[in-house]
Amino acid sequence: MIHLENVSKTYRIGAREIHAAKGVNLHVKTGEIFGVVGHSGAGKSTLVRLINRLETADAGRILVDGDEVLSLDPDELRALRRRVGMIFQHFNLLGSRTVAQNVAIPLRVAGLTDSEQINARVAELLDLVGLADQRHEYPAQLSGGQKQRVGIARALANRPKVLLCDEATSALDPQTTRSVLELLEQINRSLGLTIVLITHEMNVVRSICDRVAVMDGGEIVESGAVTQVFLHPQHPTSRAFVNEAEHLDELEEVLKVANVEGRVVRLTFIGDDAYAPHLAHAVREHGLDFTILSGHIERIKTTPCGQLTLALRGTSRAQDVAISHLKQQGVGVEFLQ
Amino acid sequence: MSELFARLDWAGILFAGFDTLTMLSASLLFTVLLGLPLGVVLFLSGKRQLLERPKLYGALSVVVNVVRSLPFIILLIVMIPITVRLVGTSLGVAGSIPPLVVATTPFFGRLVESALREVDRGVVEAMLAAGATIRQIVLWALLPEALPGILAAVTVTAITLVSYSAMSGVVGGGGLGDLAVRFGYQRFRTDVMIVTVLLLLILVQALQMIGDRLVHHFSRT
Repeated sequence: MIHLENVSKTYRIGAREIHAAKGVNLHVKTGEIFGVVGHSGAGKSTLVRLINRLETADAGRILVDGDEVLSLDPDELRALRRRVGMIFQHFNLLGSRTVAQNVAIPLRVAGLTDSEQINARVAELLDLVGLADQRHEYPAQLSGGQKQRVGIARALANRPKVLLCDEATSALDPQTTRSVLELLEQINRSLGLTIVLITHEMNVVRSICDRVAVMDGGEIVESGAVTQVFLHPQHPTSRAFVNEAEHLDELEEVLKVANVEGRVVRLTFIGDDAYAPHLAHAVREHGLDFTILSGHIERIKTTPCGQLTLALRGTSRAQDVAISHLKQQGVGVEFLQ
Repeated sequence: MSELFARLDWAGILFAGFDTLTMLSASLLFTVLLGLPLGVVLFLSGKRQLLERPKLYGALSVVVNVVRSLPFIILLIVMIPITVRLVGTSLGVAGSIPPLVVATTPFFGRLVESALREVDRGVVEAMLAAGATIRQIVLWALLPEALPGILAAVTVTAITLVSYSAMSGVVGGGGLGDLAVRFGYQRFRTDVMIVTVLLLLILVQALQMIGDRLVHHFSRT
C-alpha cells in the first residue's frame, strides 16, 4: 500500500542542516498496522507527513495506493489526501464547529453538498466511534479521548484506505489510550484499513502493531515483525525502547549486580508455548538448575510470549541435554555469556 | 441647569448624530469588505504560510504602513481628487466616507492578519490532510476559527471610525464631532459640547458592549 524508496528530507535552519529523513526505505502492506517508533526529533513526524505530502521529500520515491506521490499535480494530490485519513496528537479539531460539523468537513471538501447524505454519513461515523450523543457539542466540551474519536471519525469520513496516526495517543492518559487503540484495531479489522502509527511509546506498538520500524536520527535503524523486534532487538535504540517498555535493566548491569559466573541463557517462548511447562519439565527430567535473572510474560498484540534470562547451574552435561531438549520444544535459546 | 440647555438646537444635534451613524456604518461596511480580503492576503502571503509570497507581502506591508503613518486630517485633504472621482464630491457625509475607508482599511487588515495568525496551525494542517483547497481552508476553517478575533477587530475599527469622523468637519462632513468643534469649541457653546461629548461617549460604549457580546457569543473555548 505504501512504498518509500530511498527517501530523504533535509531542513535548513540558518546554516544548520537537519536530516529529518536519510535514505528511508519502508514498505507498508495493505491491511496491516505499521508502527514507527522513535524519540522526539528522530524524524518520525516528518516521515508520516511525507506519505501525504504535507512535507515534500527532497529525493527518493514514494508510492501510496499506486500513486507516485512526488509527481502528483495539486488536484491529484488533493484526491490522494482524501484517500488517506490522518489523526493528530492535539486532535486539530475546529473549535468553532460542532462535533457533527467537524466530521462533515471532509465530506464537503470532497464535494458532497446534499445535507441529508452528509447527515447520514456523519451519523454513521459517530456511531462507529461511539459519539452519537455528542453530535451537537463543541470540541471544548469533550474529553481528550472523545476529541480523538471525533478526529478518527473525521479521518474516516471519505472511506480512506490508509489512516496516518501522528502520536495519536500521546496526549491521552493510559486508560484513554487503551480505548482509542482498541477503536483503531477494531477499525483496522472491520474496514481492512491500513494504519501507519507513529509513537514514542513502545507499549502502543506492542498492543496493536503488526510490524514496526525504529527510527533514529532520520534513519530507520531496524524494522520487522513486532514480536521479532520486541524479543530480539538488534539496534541499541530498539533495545533501549524495549527495555523501557518492559521495565528491564540492561543485562550488563544485571550480570554485574548478580555477580554471575558460568553460562547465561535467554529463553524465548512464543505463542501457546509461553504458557507450557517446558522449563519445569527440563528441571524434572534433566536435572537443570538455574537462577532467574530477569523475565516477563506478556502479549504482543494477540500473541502470548515470554522471555526468561537464566544463569545456569549444575553440570555442563545436564545443561546441554536440557538446552537441546528445550530447543526441540521450539523454545528460542540464546547464550548471552 | 435647564437654562444652560435652553438654547440647544435638538434637531441639529439629531441630524449630526444621524450623520455620524451614516458615516460610521457606511465606512465600517466598506472597511470590512476591503480589509477582510486584505487581511487574508496578508496572512496567506506571509512567512511560512500557505501561499508564501515574500515580494507581495513586502509590497502590501509598505502600502499598509504608509497609509497608517499618515495622520487622518492630512489623508482627508490629500485624497480630495480621488474622493471627487469616487463619489462626485469631496464635501459632506459622502465626501468623508472614502478617506475614512482608506484610513481604516489597512488598520483593519492588519488586525485581521493577526487574528488569523492566532488560529492553531494544526487546524490548517488537518484541512490540508483532508484534501481541502486554500479557498476551503480560508472559508471553512480560518475565518470561522478567527471569528472572535475578527469581531474584536471590527469593534476597535468602529471606535476608531467614530473618532476619525469628528475630523470630517474639515470637508463639511458633519456629525457629532464636527458639531462639538464648530459650536462647542469655536463658538463657546458649552451646552453643545456637553451633549455631543455625552452622545459620543454613549456611542463608543455601546459599540464596545455590542462587540464584546458578539466576541463572547462566538468564542467556543
